[in-house]
Amino acid sequence: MHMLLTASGNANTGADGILALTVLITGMVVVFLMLIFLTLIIKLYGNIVYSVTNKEKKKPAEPAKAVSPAPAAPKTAAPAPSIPAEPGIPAEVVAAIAAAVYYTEGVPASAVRSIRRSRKAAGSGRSAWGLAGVLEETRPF
Amino acid sequence: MEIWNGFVQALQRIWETSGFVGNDWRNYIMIVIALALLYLAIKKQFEPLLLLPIAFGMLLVNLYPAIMAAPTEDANGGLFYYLYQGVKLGIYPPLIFLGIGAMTDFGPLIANPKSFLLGAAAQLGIFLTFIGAMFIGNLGIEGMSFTPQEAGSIGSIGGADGPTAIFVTSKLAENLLGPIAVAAYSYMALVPIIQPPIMKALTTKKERAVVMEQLRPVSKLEKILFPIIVTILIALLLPDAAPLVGMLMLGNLMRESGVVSRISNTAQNELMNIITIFLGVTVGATASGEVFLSGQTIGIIIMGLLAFCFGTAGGVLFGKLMYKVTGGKVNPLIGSAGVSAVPMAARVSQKVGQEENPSNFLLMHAMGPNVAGVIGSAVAAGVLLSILG
Repeated sequence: MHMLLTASGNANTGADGILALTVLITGMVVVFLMLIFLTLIIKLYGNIVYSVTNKEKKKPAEPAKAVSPAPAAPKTAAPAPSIPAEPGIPAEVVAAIAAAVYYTEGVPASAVRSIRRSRKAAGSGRSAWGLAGVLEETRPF
Repeated sequence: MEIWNGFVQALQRIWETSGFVGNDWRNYIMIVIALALLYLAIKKQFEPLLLLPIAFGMLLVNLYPAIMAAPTEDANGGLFYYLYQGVKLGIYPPLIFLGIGAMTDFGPLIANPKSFLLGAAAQLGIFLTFIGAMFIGNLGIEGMSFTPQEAGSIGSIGGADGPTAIFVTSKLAENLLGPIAVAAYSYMALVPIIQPPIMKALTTKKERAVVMEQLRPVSKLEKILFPIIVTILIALLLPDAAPLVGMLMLGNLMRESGVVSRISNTAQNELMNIITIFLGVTVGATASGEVFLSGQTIGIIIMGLLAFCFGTAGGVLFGKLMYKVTGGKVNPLIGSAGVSAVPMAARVSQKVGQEENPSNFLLMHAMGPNVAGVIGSAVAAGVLLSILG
C-alpha cells in the first residue's frame, strides 16, 4: 500500500505541481482583480454620492443663516458663551455636543444656536427614547 | 423457568444493543476529546456558541452512532442525518452569511475602499496551503494523501471563515467536513493567540505606532447602494460565490435599508441562532472515531494552522507595502484583519496597535479589511469551486 501510494504519488507530481501553481496564480489574480474592481466602483460611486449629498446640504444651509436665534434658549452664564445652553447643562456636555456637530455636519461651534434638555414626548409619560422602544416592539405587521 | 429465560434473553438483547458492545476504542477517544472541548467551551469560553454544540454533537455521535445513520428501506435515518442535509446541500453556510450581513456595518470599508486590497492579500493563506497539501500528498506518507479537491478544502481554512470553509468542503470533499470544520472554528477561537506574534515579527515599532487619519462619514445612500452593487458585480463575474456573497449582501441590505427592521432582527438573532445550533451539532456529529482519528486529520490540523498564519502574514505584508506607498499613512497592523474572523481579527489589530501607542485607535480602520476579508474569502471560495469543482 505504501509503495503503491509512493509510486502513484511520484507519477502525479508533475501534473499536481502544475495544477497547484495554476490554482495559486488564478486564485490570487482573480481575488485581487475582483476586489480592485470593487474598490474602484465603490470609490467612484462614493465620490458621486458624496458630492451630490454635499451639494444638497449646502443649499438649505444658506437660508438657515438668516433665521434669528431660537428664542427658547435662555442666556446663562455657561462657560461657553457662544453657545447658549439651558441652566444645569455642564460645559463639558456643551463642548461634546459642539464637537459632535462639527464632526458630523462640518460647521463651526458658533452654528449651534441653543442646547436644551429634550422634553418628554407630549401626551405620554415616557421619554422620546422610551416611546421609540415601545413603538418598535408593538407596531402592527 | 420460562419467565427467567425471557428475562435473561431480554437483558442479553439490551446488552448487545448497548454502546459497550457496538462502539470501538476510537469512539471512546473521541468521547474524551469531546469532553475536553466541552471544558474549553464552558470553562475557558473559547467560542462557546459554536464549540459547545460541536462538542456535544461529537459526544452524542460517538456514544450512539446511529443518530447519523442514513435511512434504509425498513427504517428512517437518525435525527442528525436529516439535520446534516443542511450542511451537505450547502444550505446553512449562506444562511449564516445572511445573519452576518445583517450584523455587519460596511461603513469603514466604503469610507476607505483601499481596505479591499488587504482583504484580498489575506487570502494568500488559502492558496499557499492548497499547494502545501498537494505537496504533502505527493510525499507518499501513508494515510496523508489528498486529492486536489481535498487540498482545496483544507486551504479554505486559511480564510478564517467557518461558513466558507464548510461551504467549500461540502461541495469538494464532504468526507473531510468534520476535521476541517473543527479546525476552522478552533483556529478562529485562537485568533488572539495566533496572530500577534506574526504581526509583531513582520512589522517595526515605528510602523505599528502609525496613527491613521479619521475616516470620512458615510451616507445612508452609499450604505444602501453597496450591497446591491457588490451582489450584481460578484454574481455576474463569479457565479460560484453568488450564494455566499448574495446572502451576505441581502442581510446587509435588510439592515441598511431601515425599512425591514423586523426581518433584519430575525436574521441576526433567531435565525442565526437556530442555524448555529443545527450547524454546530451536525458538524460535530461528523467527527466519529473511525473518520476523525486518522493521519489525514492530523495533517489537516497542522495545515489549517499554517493556512491561518500565511493569511495573516499576507495581510500584514501587503499592509507594509501600503505603508510604503502611502508614505506612512497606513498602519500595517490593519492588514492582519484581512482574514475574515469578524470582529475578532480587527480587535487584535486594535490591541497590538495600542501596545505600541496607547492613544491609537485602529479598530474602525481594521474593520474595513476585516469585512473585506469576508467578501475576499467568499470570492476565493468561488475560485476554488470553479477550478476544482
